[in-house]
Amino acid sequence: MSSPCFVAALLVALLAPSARAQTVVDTQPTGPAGPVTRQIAGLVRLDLAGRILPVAPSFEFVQSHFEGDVVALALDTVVHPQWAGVGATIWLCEHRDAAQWALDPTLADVRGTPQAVVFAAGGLNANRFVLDDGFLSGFVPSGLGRGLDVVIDADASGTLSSGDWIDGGGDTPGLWLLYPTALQGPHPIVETLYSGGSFLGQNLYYPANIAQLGPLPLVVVSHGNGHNYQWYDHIGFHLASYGYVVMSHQNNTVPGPMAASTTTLSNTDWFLGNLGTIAGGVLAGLVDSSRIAWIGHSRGGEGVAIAYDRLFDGAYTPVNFSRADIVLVSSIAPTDFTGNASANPHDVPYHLWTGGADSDVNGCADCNICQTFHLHERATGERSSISLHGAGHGAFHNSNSGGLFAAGPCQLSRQDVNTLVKAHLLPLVEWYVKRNPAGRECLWRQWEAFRSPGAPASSCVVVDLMHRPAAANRLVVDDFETNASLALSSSGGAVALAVDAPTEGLLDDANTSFTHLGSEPMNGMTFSGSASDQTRGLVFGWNGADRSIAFALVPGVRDARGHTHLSLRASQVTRDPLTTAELGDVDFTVRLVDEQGASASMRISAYGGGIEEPYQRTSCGTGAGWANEWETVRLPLEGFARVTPGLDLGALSAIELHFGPSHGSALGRLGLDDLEFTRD
Amino acid sequence: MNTTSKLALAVALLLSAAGPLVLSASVGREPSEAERAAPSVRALVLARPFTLERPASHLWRAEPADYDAGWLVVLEIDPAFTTPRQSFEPVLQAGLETVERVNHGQGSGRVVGIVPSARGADGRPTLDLSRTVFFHGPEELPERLSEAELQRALARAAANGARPFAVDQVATAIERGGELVALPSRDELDLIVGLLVLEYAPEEVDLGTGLLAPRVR
Repeated sequence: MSSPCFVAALLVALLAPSARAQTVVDTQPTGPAGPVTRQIAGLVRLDLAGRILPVAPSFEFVQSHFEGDVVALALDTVVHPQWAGVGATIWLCEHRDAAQWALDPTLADVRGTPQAVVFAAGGLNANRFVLDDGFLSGFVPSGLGRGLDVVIDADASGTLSSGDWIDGGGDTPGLWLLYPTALQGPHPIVETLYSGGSFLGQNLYYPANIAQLGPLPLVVVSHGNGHNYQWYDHIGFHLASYGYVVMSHQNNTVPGPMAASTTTLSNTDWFLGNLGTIAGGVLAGLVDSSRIAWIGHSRGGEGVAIAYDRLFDGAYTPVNFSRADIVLVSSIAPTDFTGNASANPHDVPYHLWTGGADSDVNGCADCNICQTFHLHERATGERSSISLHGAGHGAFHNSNSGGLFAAGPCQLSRQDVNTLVKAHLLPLVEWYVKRNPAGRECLWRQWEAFRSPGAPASSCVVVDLMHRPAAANRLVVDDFETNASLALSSSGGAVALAVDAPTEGLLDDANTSFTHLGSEPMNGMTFSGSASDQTRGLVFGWNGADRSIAFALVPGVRDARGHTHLSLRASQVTRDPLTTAELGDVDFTVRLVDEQGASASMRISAYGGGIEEPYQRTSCGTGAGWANEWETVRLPLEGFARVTPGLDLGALSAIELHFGPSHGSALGRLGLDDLEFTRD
Repeated sequence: MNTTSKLALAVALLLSAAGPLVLSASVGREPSEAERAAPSVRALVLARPFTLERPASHLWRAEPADYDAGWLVVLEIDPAFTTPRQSFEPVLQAGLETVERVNHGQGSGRVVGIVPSARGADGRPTLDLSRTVFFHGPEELPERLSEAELQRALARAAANGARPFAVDQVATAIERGGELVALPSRDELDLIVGLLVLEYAPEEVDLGTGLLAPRVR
């Protein structure tokens, strides 16, 4: 490639509207290097690594890959025509930041040899190359995620130099390769059982080499009623093996979740205040009290939310930590005895686990204290949720002396659920507690397309994920919380509904059963537990004919640049004839339209999965199908821009949802909420 | 922690800490119909008075109160009342007081409980077990129960025929429990409770060993 040609092409790329697929995100200025070179000049930075899709848009630029997955590279020669017909060498290298690359620019391919390719005309589809077909290991000596950088060595110099294209090589790598999160990590573990007195019994797990690892975050586990603090070995051993201190404590659950919250607080405080004596003092100075996660199960799951609420309200003042030190509250099948005023995570990052087969905190419409989603809906900060079909209440701990408390078909064993917990918990805490982004995509990418090797994979394992970033990273088009009119979105744009029986309202089942009556639009919804719980949404259907909903975008939400995804959450409506007629994932099409009339359409299934069918559990009225399970669908804006290269993401005019035989599933009935642009 | 190591720990603790305790391996004869105080609480198996040098808080009611004396009891319970649930459970009462139910009794049918009491001039708990009705009140969270609600529950139980245990049963239970034990604090009481759980509700071994976990001082 001649240098003038290259520069001209680069300028074209840079000056073009940002609504471009695979845009260059950064170039470092060329020119004489200063006396102290801290980074290599003239590099072109853009996304290159990802995975090949079988359908349009044919490729997904993703950050994370599990060991064993196929890792690929794609380059769009429509967007970057200077590469058409050009040969180059692709290097897959251990990640270095800019300064490290400047210090040692030598390219060293982790595969042994670099990969010679010739880029073709014809856009991205013609330029997808497998970088690794599952051979590389994701193992790292500590933590999660092996960072790798992808380099197109433009001048074939064997060094990273001006004019080379790179994915990564800065603050973050081009891709993360993940060791199976279901498998134990690298550190040997010490477990010890002790007590500081009444209701201060604790089971402690920590890496045996903690002295070499430095201050580690603390994960506190608060058990449920009739459970025991020694029943969380699967969590303790797993997280300790990845560099966490895990303390599971005696929890005073029988009086109620308020008492449980007290033991969560007092055990955390006592533990941090007695590091000099616990386990002979080996943890002294080695527990990072500014990074604490609380995980509670059942009444304990409500208790941890109450504990945070008490800190939030100033009703409890610990000695050895403060509210700001709680960086994650995670509830496993939580009760909701105390309602919005107390069982409220407020602004803390919050995570929820729900078992579809739970016969204790069972989720039925007749048991308001048994509906797990209330706490999740109250969380105003970043939040995530995982629902597991077939998981019973007792399957989340590891003791066979406690019952499974499960009902429904296709039940999962305790071992399977424990493994699923481990597989999901590790990337969860790595993100929320350590802010390690390596496994963050586990929180929202469709389980069908992205899951840890070693996680159970039978057809009974059905997983629904919800994820919502913090408010600063969301541009809300319609969350249905304001402007109750069907014809108006919460952001103020017109909504044109051409679907069957649309209803907007509180996402709360109006009676005490999941029986389909035809007169209860919010059947199966379990988001609201108190008068002050106000999560609202839309339900609607279609039946064999093409239907649509169009959200007109007002000026404040027309510029999606700066965001990475179009996001929505949806659920099938349980026991509705339009749901039961075709039990399976529901698929539909999302279309973005810009002010010039250009548009791009994409099936939600393009990246794997769809909106799952309800868990086919009976009781709670007549019929089959349990509480509506919502899941988040995130479609990369980059994909839309690649489907229609002229689409202007900076001046969008509408988001359209198309349903029916021409656009996905022929029929269905859905709940819809949180239509927004997001970024991580 | 695996079951073998838990049992080993329990045995070791029993051998080292149970010295002053007199624990019977027998729960005595099955109470007759006439002796049944209430359908769900079938028998008083064991009762032992205790005092605490440092008062503890009884959190099992809406208005928590400190106590420095009380009874350790082992009750035989209708199995229908022994399955732990996360939702509301029937609240075990001893007269006007809630019982701190240490275990659920699943499998064994035996519940170890702590019944707070005032301390009399003689240094013993003032609560007279031979005049106390043990029963399950309505399903609620103990921490939400007010004095008035406890009174109403007691009145309903009495109206439904609940009566105190027979005097001779109470006497046998107290004899089985042993002498008054004077303890520095609730922490030491937990050690005795842990041993009772291991003996009378061995299915809940994790609870027992957890209560007996080595103290960090």
